[in-house]
Amino acid sequence: MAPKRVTVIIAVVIAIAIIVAIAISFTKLFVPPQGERILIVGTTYDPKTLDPALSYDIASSIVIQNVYDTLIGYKPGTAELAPKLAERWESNENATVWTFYLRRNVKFHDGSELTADIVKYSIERAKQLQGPPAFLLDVIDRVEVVDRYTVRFVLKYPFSPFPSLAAFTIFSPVPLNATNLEEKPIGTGPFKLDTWKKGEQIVLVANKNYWRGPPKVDKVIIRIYPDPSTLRVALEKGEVDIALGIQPQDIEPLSKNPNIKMVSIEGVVIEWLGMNLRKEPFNNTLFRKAVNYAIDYNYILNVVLRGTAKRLYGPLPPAVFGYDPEVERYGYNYNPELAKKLLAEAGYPEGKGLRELELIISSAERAERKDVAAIIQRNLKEIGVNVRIVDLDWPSFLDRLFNHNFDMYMVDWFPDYVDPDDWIVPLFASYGLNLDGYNNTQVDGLALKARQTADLQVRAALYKQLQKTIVDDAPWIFLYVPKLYAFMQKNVEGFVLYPVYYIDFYPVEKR
Amino acid sequence: MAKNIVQYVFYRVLQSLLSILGAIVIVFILSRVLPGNPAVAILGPKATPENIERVTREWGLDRNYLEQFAIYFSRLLHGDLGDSYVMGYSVGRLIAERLPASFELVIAAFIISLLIGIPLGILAARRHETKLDLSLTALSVLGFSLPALLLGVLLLLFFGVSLGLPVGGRIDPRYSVKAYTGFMLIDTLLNGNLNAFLDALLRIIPPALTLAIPLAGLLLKLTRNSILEVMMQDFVKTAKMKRLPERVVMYKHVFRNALLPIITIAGLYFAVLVTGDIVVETIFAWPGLGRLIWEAVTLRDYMVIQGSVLVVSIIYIAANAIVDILYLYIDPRIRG
Repeated sequence: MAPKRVTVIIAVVIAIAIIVAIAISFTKLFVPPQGERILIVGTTYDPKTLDPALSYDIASSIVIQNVYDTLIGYKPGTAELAPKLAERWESNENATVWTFYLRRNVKFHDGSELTADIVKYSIERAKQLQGPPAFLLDVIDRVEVVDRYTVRFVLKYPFSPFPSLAAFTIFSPVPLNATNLEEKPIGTGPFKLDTWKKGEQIVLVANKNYWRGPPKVDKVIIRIYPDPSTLRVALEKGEVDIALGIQPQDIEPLSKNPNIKMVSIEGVVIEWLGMNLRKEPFNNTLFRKAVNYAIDYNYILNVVLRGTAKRLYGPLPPAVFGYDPEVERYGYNYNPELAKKLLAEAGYPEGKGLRELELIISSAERAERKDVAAIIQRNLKEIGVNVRIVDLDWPSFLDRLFNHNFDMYMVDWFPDYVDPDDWIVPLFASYGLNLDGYNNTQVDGLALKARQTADLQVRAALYKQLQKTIVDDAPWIFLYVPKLYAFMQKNVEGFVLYPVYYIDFYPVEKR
Repeated sequence: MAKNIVQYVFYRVLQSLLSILGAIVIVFILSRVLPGNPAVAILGPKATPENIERVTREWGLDRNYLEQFAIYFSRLLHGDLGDSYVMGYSVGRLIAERLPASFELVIAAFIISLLIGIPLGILAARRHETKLDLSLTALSVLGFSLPALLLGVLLLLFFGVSLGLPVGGRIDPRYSVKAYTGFMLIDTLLNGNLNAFLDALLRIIPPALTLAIPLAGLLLKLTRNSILEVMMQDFVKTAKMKRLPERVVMYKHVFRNALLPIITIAGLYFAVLVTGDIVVETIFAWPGLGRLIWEAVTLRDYMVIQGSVLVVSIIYIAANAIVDILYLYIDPRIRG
């Protein structure tokens, strides 16, 4: 019996060894088709819809931005506006009427031509469908066709950021009478949709007749890796050419990988800690200033975030027009002694008389938020303020935020259009979202005036004043601006990151 | 006798239908009890109050729960699972797109666990109270208690990084495979693409193993104990005394009787695997039903939650009923 068993074991071991050896050599023997120039992009979310009238999430816009063109684009690597489907644009003096001059000979994937009629139709269609981003069109009163290639937007009120709004995906023209654009988009962009296997991948093929000339790859395959750690493995194994959506904790190790190329840029997303100014103790400006001085910002930036973010000193991120660098001088820095003094002046010496405050966060989508919140909790405890962190899932978090059922919250903000207006009005004007219950008539007035002023210098001065006023009132603890990252194989050339979430595969090539 | 069987099957089916009805009600209530409003979850942080109100009205979420349920249930009776709030089209289609991927993975996991668990269980029973038995039993406990998250990541790194094999997803995206059955392993063969088949085969092994190892551990332990129990019984002792060859006693008498509890657990576990693979589908980028449910929950897409949980409940309840009916053929005592 014993010798027989030994033979069996030896046989099994040999069999396993052979299978492993064959399996490993398979990967070298059998390589998938190589003829086409295929760019494989790994990302972490599945699009929800491919209709530009309905899309309001990052995963969807990655596809839409490459299948469609907006009226206005960005200069490569910046948030500055550049002509796209519109060759130029102008407004009347008080910024209520905007005229766009369209590029000629632009064809949709179905062969039809882009005209002013189609732009009018597309905007009216989006307004009628009332998808999640449709509120961005609320400013438009009507669209007029001036001639075949000239279209005019008549606004309800003066709105000088209108061109930057026209760079949002909802301003992508769609052909007349197209059906099921949610799944089968037809645009004017550099790529056409081939297939979309939900939860798995999207295949785009080059539009050889693109008006800027054909793209440099034949195919783009956008592959969904819901777990960012798996995406990292896929990148390091060379299964994906470009990885979008790598977690902050993987950035440092990946940046040291000699086979991987990293690009990064300062973004325009801001992260802050908001307070409920409707109730005590947050209705006390001295208390809010005290907590602003209590936070060890450098520790958060350098130790917790490991340099993947820059400090936010005021309501605007540095990369946006109107940012006043002076804010870095008068903004809040870590000063625990001053914090304790201000806390006492606010009527809470060493935190006496304060209840335990609740900080709500949602860390499911941004894991580092939990660590930052823990540091804030520790810093506030050091001056005598006790905080309890409650980590909720996103819908529960939003529910409490919208019902103003919180003491403090931490969240980030993606702008829809890169103009200071999209930070100041929704976040600080009492007629905006008014999450915090912040109410300063001076801010309200200045914000409205800045929105209606066409002159850039005058606007910049208004935003300078707004930043100072808001920082003085300290409605938030201003935290940081995360950098944007993309990782790719060494042979990928031409990929450019934008401060806004705009992903462009048109100039990308593989060597 | 035949009448009894028909009656038994009839009651069993009736009971299953009642269980499904119960599942429908419970899932409906549970998804409504979750905090958070789907309109807010989908419109995002910049939603205006007017927009939230409009969407809430459009989806009928402003009606009371009883009305909502009545509408849902009457559509359900017409075979309509409703439409997804997020994706805009029918839940039935969403599930149909995802189900084959889940099934393929679960079937692979199931086969692997049977192939590992049962033979090792028999081996442990035959060598019971030896070092081999002891180590196999210890291994089975370890396998059963390893969390899928840990096991999945370990296998991902082992197969993907240490062995350098393809991992993540069902197949290399550069292969274009025409879908006939939705099962990648079969479709690649029907396409006559052997390379694609091998790629798909290599990719299914790590996630299938992650699902299979706990079940294999359970089956090992169960098979061992069940066999030992049967071996103690009189009819086995008689068979042994009749000097029947050990092999005959083992397979004809012991194993057939020991099979009952194994079938029960394996059958129920099959249904558990279909849902239990949310973690595995996430780690291995597997576009299956588990992830659909997870995404629907994070967006409060009630219709998708209700539809997919209903489908899973049906699978579970059906598996349960099939196991019970299978008993009739394996164990004559139940027919009595």
